[in-house]
Amino acid sequence: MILNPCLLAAFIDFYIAGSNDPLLGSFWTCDGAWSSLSIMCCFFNPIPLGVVALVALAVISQAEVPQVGTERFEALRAELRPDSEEQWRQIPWRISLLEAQREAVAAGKPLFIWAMDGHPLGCT
Amino acid sequence: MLDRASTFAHPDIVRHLTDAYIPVAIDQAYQRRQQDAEGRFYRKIAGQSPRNDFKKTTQGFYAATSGGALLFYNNNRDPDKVARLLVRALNAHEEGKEKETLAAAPIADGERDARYSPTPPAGGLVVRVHAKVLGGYPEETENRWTKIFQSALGRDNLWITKAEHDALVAGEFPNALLMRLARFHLVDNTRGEPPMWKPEELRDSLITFEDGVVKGKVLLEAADGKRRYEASLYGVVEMEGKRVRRFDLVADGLFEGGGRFTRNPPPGKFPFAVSFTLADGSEAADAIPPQGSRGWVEGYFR
Repeated sequence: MILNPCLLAAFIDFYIAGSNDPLLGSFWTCDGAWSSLSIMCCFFNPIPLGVVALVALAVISQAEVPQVGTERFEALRAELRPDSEEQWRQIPWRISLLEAQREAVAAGKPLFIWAMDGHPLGCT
Repeated sequence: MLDRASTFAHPDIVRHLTDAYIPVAIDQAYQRRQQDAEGRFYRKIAGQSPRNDFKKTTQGFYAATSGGALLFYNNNRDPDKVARLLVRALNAHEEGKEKETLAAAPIADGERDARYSPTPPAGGLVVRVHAKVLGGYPEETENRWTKIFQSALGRDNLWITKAEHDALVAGEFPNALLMRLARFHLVDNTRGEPPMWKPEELRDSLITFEDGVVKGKVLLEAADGKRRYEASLYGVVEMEGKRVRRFDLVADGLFEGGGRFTRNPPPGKFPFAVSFTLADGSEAADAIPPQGSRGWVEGYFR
């Protein structure tokens, strides 16, 4: 059984050189920026599948950032969901100082201001 | 992060702020500069504290009467100390309450200083952004504050313009949206204010949007090579008529490095993820501007 080495070469390009993206087509057409390894592989066509598979497996194992699938997507959504029970979230924070001032006047209460560099409820 | 998990996790403080005070959270970088009624009221209060140089940060905790008289200023997050100060200030407020009630009048917004009053784009979308370091910190620290940082969830908002909203409805994922999402939101904000990415630091990006599914990848790298994030993107976007009713996206990858205010990241490359989900307006934080828009909203949208 024979595998087209262009596939392997493009695969290696993507994972080692980052020049192609198999998701978007250049993997199949070999029309991206080729490394010398890609070109060499095409000259030595055909290559036994066993060798190709071994090399491909070695290359795949180097892929540090695999494509996210639906399972990982759901797991990350759950992991990055804030805990609504956190204590600081139970405090009825206002974000407008003057709205708070008007409420304080009406309620006869003092103001508490949490003033930070960056918004305290956001990116800080 | 530290205040949320320490000071505002103290049950007495939560109770006092909920029952006896009107609590407000602000980014003082706006109020100490803005030339309008809100800025003047803030500076009236802060000006009575040691943080009265408005060219510098005035961050901290303030208690004040509704008329603007300072009851206390404190920039120490020790929960027991803050709890004591809250009680003392309440007592002082009670003692002077009658006089205060007579003196204080509601302050109208008046004309807002537009430079410091950004609002979400009309017809656009507000998306909640959460970020987390998924691993890589050295084993078990005994330091309480370090523990908080290491498990923190960063929070920000992504603003999407009406034109980008319309493009999503039409089945396109606009390049401008991908650029903004990457530059201002694929940042590690779990240990403080992060540096944003410059346009040229987005080295590579690819995105597809077919049948409501977003797939892609991004590579961000600082010019000095000391900060880097390579991630895959996956998301689901659903429409209802001419509106997006679901926008859920995750970025999953490897981050490296920190910034001036986000020091002590895990060593080397570490797993880091960012999630995006449509805001429904149920949280006060849904209304705050994106950190990346701070000081230059036009630059955020450009």
